[in-house]
Amino acid sequence: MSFLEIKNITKRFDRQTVLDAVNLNIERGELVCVLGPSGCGKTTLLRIVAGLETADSGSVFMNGKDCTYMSAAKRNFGIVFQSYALFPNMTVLGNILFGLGRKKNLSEEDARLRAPEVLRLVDLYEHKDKYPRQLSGGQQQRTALARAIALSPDCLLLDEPLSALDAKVRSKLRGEIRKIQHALGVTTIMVTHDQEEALTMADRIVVMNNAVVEQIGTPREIYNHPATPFAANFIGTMNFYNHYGETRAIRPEKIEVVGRTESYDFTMRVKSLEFKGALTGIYGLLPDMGEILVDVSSEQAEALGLRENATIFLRMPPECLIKYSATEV
Amino acid sequence: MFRRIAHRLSRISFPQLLTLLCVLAVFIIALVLPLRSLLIKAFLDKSGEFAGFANYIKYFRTPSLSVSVWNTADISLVSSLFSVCFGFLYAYALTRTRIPIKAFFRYAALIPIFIPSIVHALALVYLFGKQGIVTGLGFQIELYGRLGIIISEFIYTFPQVFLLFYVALEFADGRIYEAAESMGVPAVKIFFRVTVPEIKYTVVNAFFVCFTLAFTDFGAPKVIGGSYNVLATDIYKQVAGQFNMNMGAVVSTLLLLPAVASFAVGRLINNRNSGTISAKSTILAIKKNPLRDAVFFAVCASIAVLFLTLIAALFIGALTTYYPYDLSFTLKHFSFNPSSGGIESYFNSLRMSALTAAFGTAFVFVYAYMLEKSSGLARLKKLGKLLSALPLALPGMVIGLSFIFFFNSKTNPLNFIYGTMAILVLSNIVHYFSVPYITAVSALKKLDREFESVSESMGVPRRKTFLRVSVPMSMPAILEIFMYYFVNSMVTVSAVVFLYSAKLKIASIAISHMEESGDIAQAAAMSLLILVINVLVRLLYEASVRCVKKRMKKKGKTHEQN
Repeated sequence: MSFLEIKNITKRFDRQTVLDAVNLNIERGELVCVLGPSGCGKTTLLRIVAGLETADSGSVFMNGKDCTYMSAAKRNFGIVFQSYALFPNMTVLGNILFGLGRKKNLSEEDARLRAPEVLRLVDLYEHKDKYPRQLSGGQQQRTALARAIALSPDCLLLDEPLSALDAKVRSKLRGEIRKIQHALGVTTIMVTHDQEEALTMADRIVVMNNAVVEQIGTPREIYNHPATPFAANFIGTMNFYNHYGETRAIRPEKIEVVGRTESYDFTMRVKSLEFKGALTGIYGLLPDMGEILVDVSSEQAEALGLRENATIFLRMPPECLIKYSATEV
Repeated sequence: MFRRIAHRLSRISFPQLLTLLCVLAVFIIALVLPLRSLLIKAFLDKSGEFAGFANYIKYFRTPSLSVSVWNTADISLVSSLFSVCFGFLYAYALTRTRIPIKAFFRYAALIPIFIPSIVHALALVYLFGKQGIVTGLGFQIELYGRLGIIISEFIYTFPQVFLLFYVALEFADGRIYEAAESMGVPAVKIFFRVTVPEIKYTVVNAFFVCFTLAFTDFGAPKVIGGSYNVLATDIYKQVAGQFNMNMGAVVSTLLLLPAVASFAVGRLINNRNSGTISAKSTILAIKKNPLRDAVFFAVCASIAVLFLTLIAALFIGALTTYYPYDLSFTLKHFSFNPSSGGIESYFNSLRMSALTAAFGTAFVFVYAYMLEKSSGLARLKKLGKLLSALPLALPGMVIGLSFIFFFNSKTNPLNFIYGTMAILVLSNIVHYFSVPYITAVSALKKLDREFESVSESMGVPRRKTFLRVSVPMSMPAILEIFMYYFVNSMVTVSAVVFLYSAKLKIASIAISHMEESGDIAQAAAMSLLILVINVLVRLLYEASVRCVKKRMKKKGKTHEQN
């Protein structure tokens, strides 16, 4: 029995189906990322788990107990919203104490001790008397996180927690959130549209598209063996090409550029080159198969003396090929 | 299935449902049901039998009655045209030119708001009446009648128009003007191709607001109308003079026409009105142009002088022994005749305005909060939104009259509030509901939608979030609503003229009685008292908003990039 079981959840807004028979089991202590493009239903799923939204059908079990009909207040979930929703008229400390006073199983004494404890955990203790707008984006984010974990929630729900931050802060906070989550051992569901975030942070990833779950698996499984073309295309970059009526897919970095004397599968004329730092991307057209991208290390690119219009020889290692039936694409 | 229904019920928060039902019930009792009684009354004959359109046919076949329709349309049209023209010029001067003492002009434009519309007319009498100051200088105009009403309505509607244009012109996207100039477009063309399109909806809107205000105004025609009949005074004559309630109701429905028309036009316009100002807009830099500034300064100065002269006339009238014969200083006019309400009426007005402001602000804010932030209950909220716009279409006279028909009915269990302070306060809350409602909604819309969700997930009751977050965050709007209710309740005549009782007179009505019985000086003195308290409340409002905003700013000082 999983810690959190989401069974057959379906939700419609007006006539649009936002969630279509979604099933998902979450184990105690793991961090699950729900990954998908905007409008795929991932935030609605999170809100249903949180009890802020009602499913049209299906149920949510926590510890084997049906909590589909439980109000958000009774579920004991901590939530961090995309906008953080920090109360602007309260200090960092005030924001955290706002919810603490209500915890039935927490005495006033404990509440007063709890706040500094979580503030130290997110490294904000020295900023406790500041107001939200006096904080940087990352500090605001951590305040929202502190507020959510102050109540010792059974489950932490993060809705696009890093999307409002700039790239540097984002990658730093990824590690921090992961560290805190590990330290507390709290089961966490995080919704994101950022594949890099999902790959680096998640124990397991749930790929969603158009109201349905496309695939559930560890980051490695999802990256190496995407179950559907959507999953393949959404996470990382994927080349698709047609091979005798069969759709084949391969990651750009798995394609090998080999010498003319070695065994190769295709020849390709280089259309353009893209220097990306450590890697160099080679764009070209395979005859009758469409455009393709090959990533090689920039050193190799230099060694090969690549330039536009040159002809190169490609090998597609069979173990790296993924095959889809044509109907899936 | 059963489980799902039970669940639905369990998900509805009963405190929320109850609050929403309560505010809607108040609205229905204080607005919808009275209006229904009024409409019914218009289609009944004196004995209470159904009369169909007989009352209307009779009305339009009686020339002495139906002439008022044209009279009212006439004065409304002319005064609106003037108001829109000068309101625009005045606002343009303050926002797009470099004239000096803008702050002074801004306050001067608002002077008429602080005194009842009766007093605009009263002040005109002091200036242009038979023994008026200006008349004494040899400049005579036909004040009583059409011209007097038009001038009064111009004064009455000017601040509203000015504010509408001011808001519309205040923020301009400097980039557009810079782009136009860099392309070498002449200034006149920029004005007609950039500025005018920006404000064309405001022009239409301002015209309708003006027209409706002038069309339904009771105060000015009452004092200065003479034999020139308009609809609002007709209603009063039918109801208070001839006790012809049905005909009063008929005329009342006619009073609704421009509001209904503007409502329809307003809906059309609002749907198309899209904001063009984005976060990236730059502030428009106004170029030097002495000729332009001189012309606009002249326009502003003449209007400001007109308003200040009106106030000066009130001072002279109130503080001299026997104008224009004995101009020695006296305070005797402040000891009011008890017969026309006395100083009691002033205290009653203060009490009424304070109660209206307190209860009105609470009601409006809770109403707006429930419609904006409560979860679920979509159908009730839709009804609530529909009702919220209704008072905008209802002139005070109509509200007052419908209150009589509804609350004075012997069968109404709420009959006991008739003739008390409660009915006055209730009528004011409903009468002036729409503007505060919009203020409250726009303040609440600025707050993060997830505040409620966060609180819910933390197990904090909605009530606490409302009091600790929504209310303090909306304080500037709440203060504005309070001030709006107070000032308007101090000056209102139209709704309460049917509802006050002999034991409970209020200041604006007392002014009208003093004027009727020839105690013009006392009327002027009472007007001054109203002016003083309203200006005080306004100043208090501005000081406290400044204080609140300063405190918010202190909290909001953005962190220093490190």
